[in-house]
Order: sequence, then C-alpha cells, then structure tokens
Amino acid sequence: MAEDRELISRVAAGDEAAFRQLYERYGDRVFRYALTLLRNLHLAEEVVQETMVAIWRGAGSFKGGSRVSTWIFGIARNQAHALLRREVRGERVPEEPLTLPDPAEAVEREGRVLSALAELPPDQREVVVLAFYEGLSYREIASLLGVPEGTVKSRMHLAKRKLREALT
Amino acid sequence: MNCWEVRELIPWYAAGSLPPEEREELILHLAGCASCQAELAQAVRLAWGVREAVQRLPGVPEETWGKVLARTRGIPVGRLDLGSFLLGISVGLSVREGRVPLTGELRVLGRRVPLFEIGGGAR
Repeated sequence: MAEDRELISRVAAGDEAAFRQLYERYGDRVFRYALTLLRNLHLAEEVVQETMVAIWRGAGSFKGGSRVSTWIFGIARNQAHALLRREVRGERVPEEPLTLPDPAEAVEREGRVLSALAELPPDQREVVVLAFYEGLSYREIASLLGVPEGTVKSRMHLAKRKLREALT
Repeated sequence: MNCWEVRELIPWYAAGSLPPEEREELILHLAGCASCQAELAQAVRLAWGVREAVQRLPGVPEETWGKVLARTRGIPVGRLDLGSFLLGISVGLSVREGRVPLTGELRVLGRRVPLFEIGGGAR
C-alpha cells in the first residue's frame, strides 16, 4: 500500500487513482472529525468536499514538514471554521446530536461516550478526538491548532476529568 | 518526573503518541507508583472508548466522491482514445465549475499520466 506522502506527490502530478486512494483513506476520518466539530451531517460533508478540492489543488504545496494526516486535518479544520464563520454571519444551520447511525446497533457505552463528548466545550472535544481517534501527538495538535503545547495538555486534562465524571 | 507531570502525559501515552524520551521517563515512574498505574488504566479505557464511539459515527455519504470528482476532474463530455492498452493517448473534454477544459493523458499499461490541460483555470 502506498505511503501517504507518495500519494500526495502523485496527486500533485494529477494522478486521479492516487487521489481516489487518498479519499478512501481520509474521507470517513475527515467527515467524522468535521462532525465532532460542527455536529451537522450536511456541513461535515461540505468540509470533506472542500478539503478534497483543496488537496487536489494544493498537493504540490505540501512541503513534508509534518505528517500528511496533520496537513489534511489542518485543511479540514480551516474549512470547518470557514463554515462556522458563515454560520455566525447568519446562515445558521442547527446542530445535531452526536448519535450513532442506527440506534438498534448502539452499544450503550458508545452512546454514553458520544453524549459525554458532545457535552464537552468544542476546544476540548477537538483535542480528545484528534488524540484518541486520530492518534495525533500533543505536539502535532498544538501545531495544527496554533496554540502552545501546554494548552493542548491542559485541554486534554480538563476533558479527561469531565469525561470520567460523565462515564462513571 | 513527579505524579503531576506524569498524569499530564498519561492520556498521550494511552493514545500511543507520546515521544520516546518522555515515554521512557513515564514508564520508569509507573513502575513504582500504584496510583499513576490506576490513572493509566482509566486513560486506556477512555482512549479505547472514544476511539470505538467515534468510529461508529456515520461515514462520508456515498455520493460525496462524485461531487468531489465533478469539482476537480470535471464531468466528462467527450473523450477520444488512441492506441492500445499498452500505450495510448486520450484527449477529453469535460465541464468543471463553469469551465470546459481540454485534457490530454498518456496511457501506459492502463495507468494514466496527465500531459496537458487547456482552459481549466488554476488547479
């Protein structure tokens, strides 16, 4: 299986198959990340589209200073915040609860974890998802969010305490 | 490292993303600290729970790839293929975001290599 970096350089050369592979690798992940940020399925899909278009157009500008995943989630985050700004300007789209697709499938604990996540302040929720779902380090998250490493650690500490309270 | 410093790093260790130098120090502390071991066990359960729960959120809708493709490669209008599967050239016309770019590709053993694009605007 091709490495992410190889896929990005092939995308930069206009290779559609590499672009499709990258989409298959990141489509769901970016969607779920956007969903935890925006809590709206329609907007999360818009973030995926905008992120993929930005990757297609900007793959040549990836300098390799970070992991490809960090670069992609950085793009997705910018797109999500652009949509949030649009929302602030008055085109408000209602938030939806973070719920499992089919309640019949829902495992009770997973449902409770999602509810507890939804209750977290957005900045803490984002750190938890990037750390535990995406496996990004606190340094990578600090770089992605543009905040000091100590801030990321502190958000995680607070989130962990709240999640523990909610889940016990 | 004291307990406070270790507890700040435990979630990152549980997530598997702690840098090696900090990981070693943390493990040394854990070996002799029962309360930090308990903290780690909780963090591992939490990390696993979050991963499983987020993984079960819906994935990207099936139709999204088509939308992405229409905005990047365009919707094909016409295509001319010359040569064979081994070696050939394709010239295609598509509609993309209000433009009608003409593209050319070299086909080598089924793999397509972009040659040119005229009228597509900035990529």
